[in-house]
Amino acid sequence: MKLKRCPNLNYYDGDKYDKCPCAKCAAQAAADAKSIPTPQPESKPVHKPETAPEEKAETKPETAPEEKVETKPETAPEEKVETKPETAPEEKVETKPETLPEEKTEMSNKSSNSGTVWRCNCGAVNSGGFCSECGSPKPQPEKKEEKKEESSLIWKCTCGAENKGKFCSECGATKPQPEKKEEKKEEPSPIWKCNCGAENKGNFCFECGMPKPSSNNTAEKSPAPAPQPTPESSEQKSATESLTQQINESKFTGTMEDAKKNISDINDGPGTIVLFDELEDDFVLAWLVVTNTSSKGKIFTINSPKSTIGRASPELPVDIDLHNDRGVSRGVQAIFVYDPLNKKFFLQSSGGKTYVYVNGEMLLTYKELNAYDKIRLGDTNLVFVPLCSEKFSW
Amino acid sequence: MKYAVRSFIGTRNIQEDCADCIPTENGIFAIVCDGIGSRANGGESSRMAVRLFSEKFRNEFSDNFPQFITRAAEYIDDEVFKTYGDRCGTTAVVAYIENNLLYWLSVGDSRMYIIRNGQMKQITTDHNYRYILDLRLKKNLIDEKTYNKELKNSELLASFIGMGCIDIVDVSLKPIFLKNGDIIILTTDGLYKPLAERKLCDIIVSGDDPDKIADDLISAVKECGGSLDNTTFTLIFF
Repeated sequence: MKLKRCPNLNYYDGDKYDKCPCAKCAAQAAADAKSIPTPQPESKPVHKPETAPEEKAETKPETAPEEKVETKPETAPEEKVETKPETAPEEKVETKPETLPEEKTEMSNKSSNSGTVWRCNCGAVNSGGFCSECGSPKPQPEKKEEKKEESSLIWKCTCGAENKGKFCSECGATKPQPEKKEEKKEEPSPIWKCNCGAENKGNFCFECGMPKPSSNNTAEKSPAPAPQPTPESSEQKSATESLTQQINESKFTGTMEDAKKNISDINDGPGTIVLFDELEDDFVLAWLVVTNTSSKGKIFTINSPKSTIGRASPELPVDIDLHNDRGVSRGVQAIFVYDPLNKKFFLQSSGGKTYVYVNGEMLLTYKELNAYDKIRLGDTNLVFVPLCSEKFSW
Repeated sequence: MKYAVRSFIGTRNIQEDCADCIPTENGIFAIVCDGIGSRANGGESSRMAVRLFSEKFRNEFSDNFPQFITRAAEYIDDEVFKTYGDRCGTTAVVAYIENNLLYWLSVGDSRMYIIRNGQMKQITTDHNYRYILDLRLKKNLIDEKTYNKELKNSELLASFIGMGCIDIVDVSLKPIFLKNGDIIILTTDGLYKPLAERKLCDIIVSGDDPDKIADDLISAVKECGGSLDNTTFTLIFF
């Protein structure tokens, strides 16, 4: 046993105690301990909210919010115990430099850097590797980052309470979603490289805080303009369309008789030209059907009470033109007459050069026509089919 | 204005096509005829038609080309029919360019095209049985079944010079206004049937020398091989 004497003149066993265990020395040691800036539980959540996102971005830039929530309960208890003595002063310096005295700042820096003085969980202040009171080892300083993580998980509710969980301990409000989550949802955030060299996904560099270059955004958001048709192609198209239109307007395709008629119409003056418009404005009275020659099956419509038949020429027009039959002389050879009062048809000879036959009998003056009578002019045979009769008339 | 005329007998024994060009002070008159091979006097019909059209144009035309050419066609049809009777016939496509105005007449299935800005447009209509069928179908005179059944005869001629009375005719009621660089081609079916329209157009627009292009067209027809019809055409570079 080694006897030692304390400043209060009391003797104690030096092998057993580092300091005098007397009541006076214990009180003095307690007073000294109060003067050392130990981290207070209340001082931990003093972090400014602005710093949290940066730390998050550094440590877990891409983790989903759910993962952060899961890790909270595991890390929080350990950190509470281990990080008290040394990490707090540094944070204080960072977060509230204006409120702390210079001495404390120096001391805290000293303690954090040299680690000479530390407080054990039992309350004893130590400078060695183990607690002088309970023998606990000096906490290791490598939990600094975990402390940062823990502090980054602390959030401040709108009611003012600071919390770590998903809900506010004071008002029960849910923890607000991190801003980064919204940013992720809002835009796919392609990776961009800041001038400082850091690669980011958000709108600001996590290293230097510089905003994302606006030119990139503009380039991404504004799609390339769609290719416009060249003026040449549109001109060519319009030229082709106008040529087609011109051809259609100029062109006539049809029978020679209609062609001549259209040409004479043009000579008379401008007018609308309708091709193959065989629709008759007059009501149908009867039909004549060709039964031989190259015009076999062709139908002529009688729609006038007096219709001439023969072979037309520019000077001798006829209503029913047997233009394919060279056996029919030019001009009118006979006239179909409809008697609307008695609803009867007649075929009258016009005294032309061509012989006209009805049912094999030569027509010299006139003859009443009946349904399916056979008429012959030149080499053309026709069948007479009346619509109007005693059974029907307009 | 430059032009070139070519006639190629193909693999046939006789040439039944005929063509002529008459340059005028302000333009050109051109005619191409294709004598009907199935008729005994097809070649004579086409040569007679070309001769008569040219004579009439030289001697009788003054103004109003549509009226002149329509009457001329009717007269020549009558003359050919009177000379050769039922055993004759020819197609005819006629073009007349006066200053920048293009007039035409066509009877039968010979064609006239205009090429502008690399695009080829057929101006005339083929007067064959298909034309008749299309017309009848359009007017509901026949049904689809009859139409399809009759299509096998679609290339039979329905109208021609020498039938005694021209049944169907293509004629310009108003002229087409030509532009510099326009190319007109009058051709028999010996050219447009073996050569696809796209290839025909590509060859025609490949240069500005009508003689060289005309030779290229004949070469292209020869390259087709097989049985080749008489081929005759007139190229006009406006």
